[in-house]
Amino acid sequence: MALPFRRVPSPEVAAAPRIDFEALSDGELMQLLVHGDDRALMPIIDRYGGRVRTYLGHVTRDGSWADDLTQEVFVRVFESASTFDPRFAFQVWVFRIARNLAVDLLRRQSTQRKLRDTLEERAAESERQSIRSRAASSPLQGLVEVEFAEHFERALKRLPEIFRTVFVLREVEGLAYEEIAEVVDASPKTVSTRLHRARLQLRKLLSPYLDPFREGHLPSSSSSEGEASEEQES
Amino acid sequence: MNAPAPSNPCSAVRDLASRYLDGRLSAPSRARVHAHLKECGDCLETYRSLQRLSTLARALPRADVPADLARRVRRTVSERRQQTLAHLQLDEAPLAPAKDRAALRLPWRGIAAAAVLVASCSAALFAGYKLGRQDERGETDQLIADLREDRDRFAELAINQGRDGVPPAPRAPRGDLADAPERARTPLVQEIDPGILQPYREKGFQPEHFVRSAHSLWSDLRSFDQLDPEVRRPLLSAQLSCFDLPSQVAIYDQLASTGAPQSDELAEVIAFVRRLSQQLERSTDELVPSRLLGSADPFAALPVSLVEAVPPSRTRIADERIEEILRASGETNPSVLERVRSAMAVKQAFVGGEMNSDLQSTLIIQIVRTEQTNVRRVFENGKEVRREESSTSSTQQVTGGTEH
Repeated sequence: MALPFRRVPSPEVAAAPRIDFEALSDGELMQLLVHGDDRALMPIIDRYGGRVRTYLGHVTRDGSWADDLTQEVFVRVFESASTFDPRFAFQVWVFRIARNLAVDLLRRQSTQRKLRDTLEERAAESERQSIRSRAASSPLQGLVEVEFAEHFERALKRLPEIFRTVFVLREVEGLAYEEIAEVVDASPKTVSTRLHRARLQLRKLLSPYLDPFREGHLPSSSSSEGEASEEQES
Repeated sequence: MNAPAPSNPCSAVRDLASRYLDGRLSAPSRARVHAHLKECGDCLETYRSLQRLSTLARALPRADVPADLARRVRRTVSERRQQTLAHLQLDEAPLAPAKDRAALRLPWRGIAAAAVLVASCSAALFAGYKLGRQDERGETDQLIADLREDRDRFAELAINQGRDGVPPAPRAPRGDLADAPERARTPLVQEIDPGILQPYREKGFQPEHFVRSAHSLWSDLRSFDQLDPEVRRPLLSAQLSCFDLPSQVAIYDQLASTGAPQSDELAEVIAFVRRLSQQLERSTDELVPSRLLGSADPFAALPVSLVEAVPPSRTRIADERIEEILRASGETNPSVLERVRSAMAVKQAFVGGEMNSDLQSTLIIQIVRTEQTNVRRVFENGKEVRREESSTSSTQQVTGGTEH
C-alpha cells in the first residue's frame, strides 16, 4: 500500500482546493471530526439537527427537553466521533444516540411520578405550541394536516416509547426496517410487529382523520417497494 | 414461502396489512392480500386507514435545526474539556510523600495497558493540539490534558466493547491516587523497573496517573485472547506505537514470565519487536519512541500510523536518523522508507502548524477515499508479506462512512 501521495506538498505550494463540505459524505465528515476539523460539525448538524429534533419532540413529548437532548446528541457525536463505526449508516448511529438519551430521560421521569404530571402538562403544552408554530409555517397548511398534527401528538403520547420510536422512525424519518432494528437493538421482524401494533393503536385513536372515503389506493399486486422478505410474524 | 392458510382470511390479511403497505411481503403473499382487499370491504377500509395514517404522518411538520445549535455544541464540548482538565489537575496535586512512594510503584502490566491508551488516543491528541492552538492556550498543557481525557474515554470504550464473555474488571475509584496501586495489586502483578518509566517522565508524562485507567484495562490485557479481534488489533497496534522498543521488550519479557495467556498475534508482535530491538541495540543511546516508526508497525494501517506519527511534542528526529534506524532493523524496502519519510514530513507540517487546515482536511479526505481496504503487513521469516483485508477490520479511522 502506498501513500495516496508520493510527496507531501510543501507549505509554500499548499494551495489546497477550498473544501466543499456539503459535498462530503457523512463518513467523510466524521473522519474530519475525528481528525480535529470541527468545521465538519456544521454540515452534520444541518443534515440531521432538524430530524433529530423532530424525533425527540415526538418521543419525549416535550419541546424543551427535546431541545436539550438534541444538543446533547450532537455533543456526543462530536466527543465520540472516533467511536463511530462506518459500517453503520450515520443516521442509524445518530438516532441510536438520540433514542438512548430519550429512554434515559423517560426512565428518570418515571421515577418521579409526582413531578412527571406537572412536567407532562408543561411538556404537552410546550410541544403543542411548537407544533402549532411549525404547522403554521409548514408548506402543508391544510386544516386537516394542522388539526391532525395536534391530535397525532396526543395519540402518540398514549403509546409506549418503543411504539412511538418505531412509528416515528419509519413514518416520519423514513428509516428502513433494518435501520430501525439497529437503532432499537431488535430484529427487523420485531420492528415489523411493533410498527404494525403502533399503527393499529394510532388508527383507533385517530379514526376521525382516517376516514376511509378519503383517497387511498391499492398498490399493484406485483409491485415491490421494498425487499419482500417476511412472511408471517411470530 | 407462503404463509399457512389462515382459518380467518380477514384476520390474516389485517395482520399483513402493514407489511403490504411497506412493500415487505413476498410476491405470493402480496398477491393474496391484494386479491382479498379487492373483495373484502372491511379489510380494504382497514388498509386505507393505515395508508391514510402513513400519508398524514409523513406530512407532519418537521422541526427546524435548533437555532445556534452548532455554537452551543462547541461551547458545551469546550466546557466539558475544561472541567475534565480541572479535575485532572486536582487529581495530580497530591503526590505521595517519599515514604509512601513504595505504594506508588506500579503494576507493570497496568502501565503497559496505559501505554495502549496513550497511543490509541493519538488521533484525538492531534485534535486536541488543534483546539489548543486555536484557543491559544499552552500547547503542551492542552496536549497532555487531552491525552489524559481521551485515555480515560478509550478505557471506557475498550471495556464496554471488548468485554463480551470477560468478567468485569474491578474499577479503581477515581479518588485517592496513593490507594489505587494497592487495590490494583494481584498475585500476578510485578513492579515495573523504574528505569523504564524514567524516560517517560523526562518527556513530560506522569506515569503515576496512568494507574487509574490502567487498573481498568490491565485485566483486559490479561484476558487478551478473549478480547474481540476488532479491539485486540488496535490495542496491539497502539501498544507498539507508544513505548520505545527496548521498553517493550522488557515489558514482554515480564509478561512472558508471569505465564500470562499468549496468542499467535501477540507472539508475532513480540517477535517483530524483539528483532527490531536487537538491531537497534548497538546504536540506541537515546530514547526512540516507536511511535515515530509508525509504518514499521506490522499491524498499523497507514492512516493510523500517519496520525500516530504525531508526537506529543515538537521533538524532531531527523529523517536521516529514521532511515538509519529502519535500515539497521533490516527494513530496506524503499516504499517503507518513503512512507516513513512522508509520514514524518506530514507530522512535521502538522505539528509545526505549517499546514493550513484546508490542506490537512483535504489530505484526510484523500486518505479516506483512497483506503478502501486495510493492508495488514505480516512478517514471516523476516520477510514482509502483504495481505489485503476487508475494510471492516482494524480501526475506524481507515474507512469512510456509508453514504445516504
